[in-house]
Amino acid sequence: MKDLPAPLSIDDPRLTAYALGELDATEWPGVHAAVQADPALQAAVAEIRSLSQELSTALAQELDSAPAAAVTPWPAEPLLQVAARPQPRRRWGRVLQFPSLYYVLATGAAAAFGVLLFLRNQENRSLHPGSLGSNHSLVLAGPETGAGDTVAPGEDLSPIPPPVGEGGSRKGRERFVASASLLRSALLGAGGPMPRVPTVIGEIDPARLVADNAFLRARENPLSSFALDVASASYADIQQSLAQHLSPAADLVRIEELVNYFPYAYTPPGGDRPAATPFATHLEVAAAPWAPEHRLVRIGLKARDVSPAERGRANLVFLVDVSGSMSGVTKLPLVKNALRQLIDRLEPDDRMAIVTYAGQSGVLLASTPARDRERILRAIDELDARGSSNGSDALQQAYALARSQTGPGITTRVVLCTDGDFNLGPPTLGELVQFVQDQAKQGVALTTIGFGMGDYHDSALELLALRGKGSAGYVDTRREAERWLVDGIGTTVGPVATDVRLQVEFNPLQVSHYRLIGYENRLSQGSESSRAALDAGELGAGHTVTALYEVILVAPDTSPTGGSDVDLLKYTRTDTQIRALPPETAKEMLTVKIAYRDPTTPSERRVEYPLVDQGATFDAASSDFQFAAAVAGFGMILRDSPHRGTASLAQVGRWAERSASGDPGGYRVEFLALVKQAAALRR
Amino acid sequence: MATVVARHQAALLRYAARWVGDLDRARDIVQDTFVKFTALRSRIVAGHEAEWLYTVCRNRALDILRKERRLSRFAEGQAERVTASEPLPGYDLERSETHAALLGLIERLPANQQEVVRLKFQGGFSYKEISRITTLSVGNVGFILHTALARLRREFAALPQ
Repeated sequence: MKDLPAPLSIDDPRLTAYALGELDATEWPGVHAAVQADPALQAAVAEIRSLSQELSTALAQELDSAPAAAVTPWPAEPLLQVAARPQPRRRWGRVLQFPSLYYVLATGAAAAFGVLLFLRNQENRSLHPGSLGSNHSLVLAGPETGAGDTVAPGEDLSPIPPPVGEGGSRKGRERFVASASLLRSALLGAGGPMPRVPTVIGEIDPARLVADNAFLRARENPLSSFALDVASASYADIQQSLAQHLSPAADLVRIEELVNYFPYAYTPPGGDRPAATPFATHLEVAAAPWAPEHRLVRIGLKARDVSPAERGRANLVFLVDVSGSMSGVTKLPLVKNALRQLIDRLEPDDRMAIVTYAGQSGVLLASTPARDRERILRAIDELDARGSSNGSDALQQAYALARSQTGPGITTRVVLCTDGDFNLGPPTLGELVQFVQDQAKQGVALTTIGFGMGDYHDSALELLALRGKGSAGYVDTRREAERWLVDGIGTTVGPVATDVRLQVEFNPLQVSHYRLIGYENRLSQGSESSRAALDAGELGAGHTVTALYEVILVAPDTSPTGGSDVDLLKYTRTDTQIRALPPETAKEMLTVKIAYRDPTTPSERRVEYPLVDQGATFDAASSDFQFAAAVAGFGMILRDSPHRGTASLAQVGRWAERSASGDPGGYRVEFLALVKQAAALRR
Repeated sequence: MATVVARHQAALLRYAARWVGDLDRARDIVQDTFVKFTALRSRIVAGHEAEWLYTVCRNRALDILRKERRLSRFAEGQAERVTASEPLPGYDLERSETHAALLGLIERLPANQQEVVRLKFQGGFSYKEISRITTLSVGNVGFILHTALARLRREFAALPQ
């Protein structure tokens, strides 16, 4: 807020926002004062308002009377511009989204039906699709109690009504987004790319407008699941919002993405035996800090890292867009930062080269072994977004460099880093795709990474990666750059576990109700294929997954089986069965059951991990646990979640501060700053 | 539920028709949208129904356009391409000339400006809602709207009257 009204130009868009009542509260006083001080501005504001009135009336009348047959379609091409956050200098057409990318993936994953998981007491239970992943059963769990009503323990829900609408599997569709970590492990690996599924990100997913998951009664819904692949766009969205002094819209806040954005120090699995599980599962339970009478369960998976023996030598050529638009803070600076980190992760004999295009074009760094650190660092320092293109051989040069170092046991990749500019030489996208495809056949694969593109899905990037036998990824934050360019590039191994299906079974003797925090996007996108195979995931090397459940325990003096047998689903145990559980089993709060396939062996494996609640307080929980809880609390506050309990931004800050030790990459410190920013806005 | 359908049906139909160009397909899109709406009604945050409808409608229209390869290569310099300038047939000639003229001018706006203008003044959405529907940032929405209004004002003043 300024003392003197700052001069405001008539061309300033804030004037229109002010006139229409859309101006942000922090900007309003300054603009208001400026307008009050200047009759010319006042006149402009009056004009804007009267024009708006006329427009509203005219458009309302248009709806009423002009026949709809007279509608003129918007021209097809400019829609492409509308569909994206405006980006400068778009040279290449957006080829239509490549729908079969999605289907390739869908058919590659296991079918959703007939998941067989063994129970503790060896009772085989075929899980009917309808009983899987019942977190979507907001629809099933009784009358519409309204968004996120908390159900009091012991309260009876009325009988379960039949499912709404869709037939077939009622399992909630996880938001199937191939995460950066999955993509990264495929970066140098064999096999096709795993793109983000366009129907979910890019086009705003209206599922964002969906309310928080409610508490479910354990007895009727003992099974729960969550997606292993979680994107991280929500964190970037929130950062951007707060940076613009706008409180993030509740539906941009996806808690599972926030929690999974951060690195956690999960111990990787030990054991070199061939039969060893390729991932470690970590379970922890303590009091929920926003509702101390509730328990908070953290389930973490950590896939094994790649051993140096497994990966071949890497031969990487970075083809970097240095056009003017790449100077944005989410673009070239991220590239440079990540490349610097990458050097330290490469083996001495791995090779790196850098070729630039769309600006100062040419070979910036010839193929150099990683042990020549200084030379590489100097070249990275010279990366600069300088604008004018001098139309180029950059593409040819990059591939020539790549080919010159290729050989048996060497994984060769060209990595395209751009914000959408494909001015690489070939005059049409089609020719570029053809070139890339031919090169891939000769052993040089292409991976494409879009920087600072926000939600936009670039189908050209994805098509190039598909034909180039590489992967397509998007980076908006330092963390994503790290995942992609650092963690991802260093491996040549594909996923360490495939067809992974995870299920949590709650014990109704201990648990009265539970709630999965986040993962609200479980809507079917409607088509059969999107329902087909979203139950199985993959774990890339080093990948971590974290999910949080809030749990309400059965009150000690309550009969655990309360209610009549009529209330039980036919797949849930009867009272008799529950009473017959052995005492150690009866004490368990839940069991995490995971079925998976190790790519090195043909058969499916299963593991189970039970969790017994020892009654730990929040303070006694691990630092990772506390931090994850802080992040979840932050998300719930931003979403105005009815389940946020006593959480406040100040408290979130305290929880995060306490657990901010051991913060490689400084992401927790960043989070603290973010919380402060959010708190400042709410005052 | 019925009121939501009634209230938005006409506007959604026009919105969809602008994307796909014909009324029959627009009707299918709007129908699909309402079917989804019915199925998911209880989970849509109160007060955001209209925004949800427009978003789903838009996504569906885009899907169809992509499938049919109507979203072709973006050729440079077409960002400002303008629709045909004939007045829409069937216009009620008794309507205020001002409004008719304005509608004509709106039709001539570049597609992105037109969409934002319609969402704001015909759909009644806020900047934030428009931002979410179109995936543009709020700042962009403000800029586009400001530019569109300035242009409309200029062109309207320049009309022979």
